[in-house]
This record gives sequence, structure tokens and C-alpha cells, in this order.
Amino acid sequence: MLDTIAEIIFNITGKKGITPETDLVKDLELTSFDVMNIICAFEERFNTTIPTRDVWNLHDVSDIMNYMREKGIDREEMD
Amino acid sequence: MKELHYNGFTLYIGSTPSDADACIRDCSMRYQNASRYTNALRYTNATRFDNACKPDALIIQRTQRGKPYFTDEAAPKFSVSHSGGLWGVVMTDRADIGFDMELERERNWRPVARRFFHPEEVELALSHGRKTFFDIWCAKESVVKCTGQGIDEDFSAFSVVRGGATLSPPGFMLIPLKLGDEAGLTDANILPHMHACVCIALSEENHI
Repeated sequence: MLDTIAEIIFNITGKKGITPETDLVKDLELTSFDVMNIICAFEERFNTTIPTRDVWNLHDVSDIMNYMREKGIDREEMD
Repeated sequence: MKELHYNGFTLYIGSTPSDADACIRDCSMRYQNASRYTNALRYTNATRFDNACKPDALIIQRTQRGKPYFTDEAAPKFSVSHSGGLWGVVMTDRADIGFDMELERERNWRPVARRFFHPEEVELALSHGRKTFFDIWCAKESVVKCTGQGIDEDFSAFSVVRGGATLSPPGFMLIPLKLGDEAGLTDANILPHMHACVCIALSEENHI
């Protein structure tokens, strides 16, 4: 799952070295536009919709991983 | 650090801790008792550059939706944005204010427009291209930073354009900034491509 997230972030921002502890704002210096750009890529990749109110609870990569697990989004990728 | 004085607010823009220090010195002279506030603000600005700088939790707080503010009602209002390795902060002693800047860059921006823009904004962005998209994005984000609402499900419910021109929502004044042209800043690789907008609340009833 981490590889998938890292791939999406790299494709959007060109940022490498993603770990579960990577903070989207402090470490990657992402702007709100960057974050929304990534959200759109996730929605397209996994054919899902992520409510905007949920986005601001995703501070680091582990938050994204947990969110995907809770929503069962990761299973689509593994199938 | 560069400070730019507009009618009603000051924009400070920089990239380094020394820039933040210069911002503090200028704010201290310009706003009454501002040094204690600007020292706290330095954390907001320089957090990505200077981990030793800690905020004073009693001076800067955040609303439930994350908007930072000085707890002292007499303190100036401010709004902060980062992009392209630069930080910018606007300060005013008048009204609620929101500021956003975004470096125009190669991105698949069309899905973002369709997902987060008002239909009138989508139409304009798709017909005019990336530059217009970033202008609209900065204008919208400056509005929701001014209100403190942030980007939520209502972000696409209001429009900052009408008939192809910038439209200030009722109760607000949008001021698009051309940093590369107006600021006299020297980084030719960044500033001509930096989109920026300030939103000032004109009334106390500042909900969109």
C-alpha cells in the first residue's frame, strides 16, 4: 500500500522518499492545491470519492494508509 | 525579505529565517506592541526552516477549522501561505483577511477544477487554461481563509468569477496580486509564475 501511495505522490509532486511518518505539509511542503491534486488522483485510481471533510484529517502517510484500510480501498488495489 | 504596502494591509514575502527576522523588525515598527505577536508569527512562517523556533501557545491559537489567529483582540489580523519555497504573510489592523499564493506548475489541474470549482469557474478555467485555473484557485482559497471556513464541501458552492471577470463574493473584496510585476522582487524563475490573492472582509457578517 505504501508503494502505491508513494507512486501517486511522486506522479503528482515529484517528491520521493515517502515513509509512513512523512508529513504531507511539513516534510513534503505540499500546498492545499497539491493535496487536492493528490486526492483527485486517488479517487481516479481507486474509483472512489473521498469527502473533502475527511481530507483534513490526513496529516501524514500513515493516516492515508489507515483511511484506505478503514474504507476498504486498499483491497481494490490488491485484487 | 520584501514588504509591500497596500491600502489596508501589508504583505511580507521571503524564504529564509533571516527574512522572517526582517519581517519581525518591520512589523514591530508598524503595528503597536506587535513584536510579541510577530515573534510568534515567525514560527508560523519559518517552521519549515527553523525547528528551534517555537510558538507561544498563548499568543497564537487555531480555530476548530485550523485558522491561526492571535488571541489578543488588539493584535493585527494575519494570513499565511507557502508555495515554491517562499512564504508570505499579510497583516492588517482592520478586518479579517485571507491570503493565498500558488506557484503555477505543470499539473493535471482539470480534475481539480471539475471536483472543487463552481460550474462557472470550471467553464472559465477549462476555456482559458492553467493560468486562469491558478488565479481562480488563489482567489477561492483566500476567501475561505478569510472566513476561516477552509476548503470543504461548500468550496464549489460559491463563484469568484462572473462573465469571465473576477467577482468578489458579497461582503468581501478580492485583490489579485501580481508579485512578479508589482513587487520588484528579483527571483525571475519564481515570481512571474506565482499567483496570489488577498481577500478582505468588508462586513462583520462574513459568511459566504
